Amino acid sequence: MPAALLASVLLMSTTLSLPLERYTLPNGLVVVLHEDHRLPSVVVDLTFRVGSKDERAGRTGFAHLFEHLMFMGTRAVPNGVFDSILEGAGGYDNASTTEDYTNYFESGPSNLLPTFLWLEADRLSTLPDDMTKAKVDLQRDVVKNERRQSYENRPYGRAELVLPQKLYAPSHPYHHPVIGSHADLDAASVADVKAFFRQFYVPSNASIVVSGDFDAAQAKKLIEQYFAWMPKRPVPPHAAPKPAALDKPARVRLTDAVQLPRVVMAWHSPAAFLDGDADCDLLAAVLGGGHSSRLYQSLVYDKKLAESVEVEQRTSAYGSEFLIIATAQSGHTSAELESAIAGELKQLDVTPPSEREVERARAFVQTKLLHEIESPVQLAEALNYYEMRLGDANQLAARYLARYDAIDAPRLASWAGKVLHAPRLTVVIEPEARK
Amino acid sequence: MMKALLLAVAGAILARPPLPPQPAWKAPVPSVKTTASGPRIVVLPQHELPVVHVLVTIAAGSALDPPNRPGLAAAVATMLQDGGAGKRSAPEVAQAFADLGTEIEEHIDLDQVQLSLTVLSRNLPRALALLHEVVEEPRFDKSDWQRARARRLDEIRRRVDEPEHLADDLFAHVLYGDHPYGHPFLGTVESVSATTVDELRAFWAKYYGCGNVSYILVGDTDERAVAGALPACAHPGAWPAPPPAPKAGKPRVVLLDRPGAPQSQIRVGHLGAARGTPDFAALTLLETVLGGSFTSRLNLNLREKHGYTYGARASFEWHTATGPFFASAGVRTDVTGAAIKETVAEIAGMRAPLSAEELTKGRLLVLHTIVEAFADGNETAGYFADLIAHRIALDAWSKLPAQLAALDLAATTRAAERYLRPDDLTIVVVGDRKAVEPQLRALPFVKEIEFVTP
Repeated sequence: MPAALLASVLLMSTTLSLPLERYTLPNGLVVVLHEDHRLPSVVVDLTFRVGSKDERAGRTGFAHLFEHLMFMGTRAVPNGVFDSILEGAGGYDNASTTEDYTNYFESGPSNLLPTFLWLEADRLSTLPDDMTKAKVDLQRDVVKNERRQSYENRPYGRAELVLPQKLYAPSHPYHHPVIGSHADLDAASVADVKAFFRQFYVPSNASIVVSGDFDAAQAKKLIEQYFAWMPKRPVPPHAAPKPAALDKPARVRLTDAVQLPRVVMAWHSPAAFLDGDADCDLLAAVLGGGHSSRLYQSLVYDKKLAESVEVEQRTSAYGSEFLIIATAQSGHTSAELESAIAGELKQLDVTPPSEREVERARAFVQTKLLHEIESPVQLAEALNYYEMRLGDANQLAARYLARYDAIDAPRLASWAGKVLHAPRLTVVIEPEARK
Repeated sequence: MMKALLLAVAGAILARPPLPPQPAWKAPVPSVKTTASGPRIVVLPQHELPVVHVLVTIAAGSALDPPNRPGLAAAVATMLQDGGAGKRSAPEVAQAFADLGTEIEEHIDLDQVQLSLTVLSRNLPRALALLHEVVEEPRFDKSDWQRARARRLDEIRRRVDEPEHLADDLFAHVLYGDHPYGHPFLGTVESVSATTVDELRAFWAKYYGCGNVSYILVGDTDERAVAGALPACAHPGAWPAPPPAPKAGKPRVVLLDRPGAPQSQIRVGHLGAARGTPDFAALTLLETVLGGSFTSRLNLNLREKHGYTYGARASFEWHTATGPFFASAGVRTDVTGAAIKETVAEIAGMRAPLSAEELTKGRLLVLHTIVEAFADGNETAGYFADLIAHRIALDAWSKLPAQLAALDLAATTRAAERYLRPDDLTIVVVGDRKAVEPQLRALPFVKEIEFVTP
């Protein structure tokens, strides 16, 4: 658990006490330090303000491909050595790319902190010098295999590829999935890598979180040594699209190698941290958070139509998606399932969420969020997420839980109406005919 | 000019730093209280957040399924969570937990059933009373079982969509035969369809006595707070006998045909060891070096060197009786034979002494995995639940660092020679027979191939 204390457990004023040191280097790199000495481990999380929304036409999937290339080695740390240095001393690393951001982290015994910082500084300053077509080709294949494994051949995976394409107009930067298309991945070149690196992988476009068992004074010296010398470069321009909307209902029907039909309903919803975003988290819990939720009680317990149901507010910086994902039990059709869900949505207007339902949803969401940041890696990532989204990691302590405090039943009902009465996209996935 | 200067500066500044000494760490040991006839209560106080993780482990895992009713233990566990308790119907139980801002998660393996939840500490007493009701007063109503059974049958049918699951189930069956570790834990369509509520109730009555139940609490609580919250036990019960030691059969090669599959799922292994083995530390280190991390021998060979797969791994699975050892990967169909050949060679190669770097790497990676797990109260509780289920003392995690530190190359080599036997390997493949069979026939160590259908 983070060394955090709730000011109150009465859920009246749920701020966390999470002491941070936060400053900006002259070259623009934001530094966030959080000491926590309960376990002898440390996490470094380096996040760049670049994601699939920043890709140029004809290069979908490039931000994620680039993330893979960050592990392909430099002159000082050739391919494969990054991982062998880390693992040889008990650490590990990983990375992820979203529409908005790209995140890299290392976790390990606390004596690895200088090594983590050195490895990150090394690739941030020298990666393009040793980039070759062979490296790009290799990771292109890995990423294409990832696309096959995670989307094309995963049960219901194709629906994930369709959602952004149908929810956003072709000109919108969220129109294409993060994984990109095979054709665009094929087009990526070494020149693209160098240009992308020069534009986006600059200190002024990143923030680094160090969290765990370390001495802040010593960490500052190390960060000064490894990162402060890097020249100041312009903050890259970012796509900042307006919120998207569907002007009329849309529908897609797919078939897949699955046993049971599935219905996915999707609406546009408020972007991360805008008014209504936290409300949508609670609305998702009222509708689909666990076995007491409305859809579970109705579709699984009462009507025995659904094998599973999930509801999610999936946030992004420039617009979120509110999703209902339900899988039918065998013997039931997608049409039955869809009409039962539609019935429950209508019921939401007739009987809006009660205060009791809102209380449950709030406790459910807040407890889950607290549990998440017990993981040191997730805490570091959450701090960087708040830094990226709100421009100050300190906002995590202030708002992580408290942004749900003021939501009451009338407010939730009003947001439910605003989001769910708008036109929706419905994706139905049917089992392929048996051969 | 400018660029050259900057690079020179970077070169000087970006020298690899020295590695300070490894920090020391010992896992905490929880307190244990066993009342005369009541459940065991294990508590690890941690007061940073006003949250408590509660995990109930019951020694009633799927190894206790009667031979004609695979899936019975899993069905009972599901009905605890989703079948109503005391005066409450299933939806009412869910609502009662929801009023406390939580819900039960259920897990089942060969040795145990786990019910876990996370709750704000002020709601702990009510959550414990509810959990107690769920474990002690399940209803097993017919209508609830009909509903839960329909969903379980769908779950079993959907397992056929996933070649990984098919390969895991088939490997366990080929290796263990009729031993309790050889059957699918969810059961079969036939067995689950035939299961009655009387059978559920009888299984529960036999194995869910409080003597078989342990409550593990990690978080903002202490022994005193817990003792008052759990009512006395009505239904004592005793620990089931551990499963018999499995007998090793002849190594086999078994192929399950999936016509047109682009990938083959491969499993290569043999019987391993029971969790109580004195060689636990050595085997955990060996599995890490062979197939437990990105830079493991198997992953570097199959993924990085040959590009056969997205990832390859190997592990000893830990149970009360002897668990399996196996390597696994999903590999491209056209290189299935080559991937199996490399896998067998890597397992054989482990019998030679490790390098000094690998010994250190294995030791440190095992340790860091445990350190990180102890940051999360729910995972911490799970680590202790495994010890209880496997009948191991609760200080085992705190002793492990010293045991790992004491291992030298002679000790790991001895363990590898005893527990990794390339001549005994059973091979299971789920893949396209037409493409894979000729590749298997070409392997020198494959004598006979058995073919099965799902």
